[in-house]
Amino acid sequence: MNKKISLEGLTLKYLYEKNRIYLLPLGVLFAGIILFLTVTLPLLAEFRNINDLMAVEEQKLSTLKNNYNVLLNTDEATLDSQLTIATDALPPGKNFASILTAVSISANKAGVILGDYEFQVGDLSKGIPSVKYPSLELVLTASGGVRSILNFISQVYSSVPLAEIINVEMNNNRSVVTVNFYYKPLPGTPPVSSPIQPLSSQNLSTINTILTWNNGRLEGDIIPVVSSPSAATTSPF
Amino acid sequence: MNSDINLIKQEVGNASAKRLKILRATSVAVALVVAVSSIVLFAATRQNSLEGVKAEQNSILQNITLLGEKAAKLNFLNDRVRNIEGIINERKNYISTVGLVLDGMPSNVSTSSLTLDKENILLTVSSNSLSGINEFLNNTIEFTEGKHLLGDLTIESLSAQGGLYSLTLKAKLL
Repeated sequence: MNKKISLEGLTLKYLYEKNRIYLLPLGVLFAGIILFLTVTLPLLAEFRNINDLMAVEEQKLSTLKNNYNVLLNTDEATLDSQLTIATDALPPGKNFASILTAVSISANKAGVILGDYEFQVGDLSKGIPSVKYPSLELVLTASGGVRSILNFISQVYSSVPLAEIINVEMNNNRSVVTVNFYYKPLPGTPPVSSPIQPLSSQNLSTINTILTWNNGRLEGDIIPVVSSPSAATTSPF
Repeated sequence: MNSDINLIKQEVGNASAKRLKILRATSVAVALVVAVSSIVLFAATRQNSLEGVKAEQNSILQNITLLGEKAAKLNFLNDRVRNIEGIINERKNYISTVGLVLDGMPSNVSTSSLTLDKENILLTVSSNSLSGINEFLNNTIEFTEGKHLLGDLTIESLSAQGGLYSLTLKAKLL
């Protein structure tokens, strides 16, 4: 009976007895919050990640389906023909023969007499210049009246490969014309999952327009240029 | 009087019971929400099957691989046409402009020299008639004002030598 009872113990016991009924709901609440933080929130994050991933994969699938349909609906013979026309207009490299043919046909149609010509090939060691549209410069002399020269320029504009007259110096009946003939290397093959588009109506219209232009390959024989070329400073030929 | 005291005690007891009730309800609600949302999220996560989509992708990829050559050609064609249209749109076609200027040239005036680049045109005409030169100049000014194809029209020189008059005009191609 001499057992000692500490005051702190009694206080704790009193407090426990008084608040005992609150302990269970508080424990449940605490456990719920802990579970929310450790289970529900990570599950929510995982759910959102999977949803995002699904959206990406669904988009990829949709692109692949579309690509497959486009390929199925594309006629290979037409595609070959269109690609040939487009490659004639914008060759993947410097095509000297087709350039000379285009110049010859244009001169013949415009009634001008071509003289010397020289290609400004540029520094071959530097490879393809990193410009949007690489070009090969041709400087040529032509004899004919101003109307004939203008007609010649017009014919060159309606010839393949694509060209742009960048300078004309005409004095009396002799003209020096500088023409840029464009080319562009073929791009690398894109990933299979990148979208493949069929040609739009505008693209088809462009192809059809080019088809009506002067084209040495379609017109048959290559007409030789009148004079032999002068020595170009950087030309390897 | 005692009943008054009891009444106060009763209120304290009611407040405590109410607090307990709210606490219980909150804890049950939290537990339920956590349990239900966890189950729903778990089920939803497992239901979104990436494997099915991947399998379908692989099946289509196999079919596309069989058409690989056609796909490459179509990509090349698109690239060519896109660049062709770009060049055609960007290249300057000033032939019609020069042609229209020359259309305004009287028959007794002839072109002595013509220099064209992407920006400017320098045209020298000559005639043994000053009125012909004057007519050409007026026509060119009228054309420049009306068509807006040329700008900054200036007379570079006007000379006479041995009865032959020469006029040099410079203009910016717009």
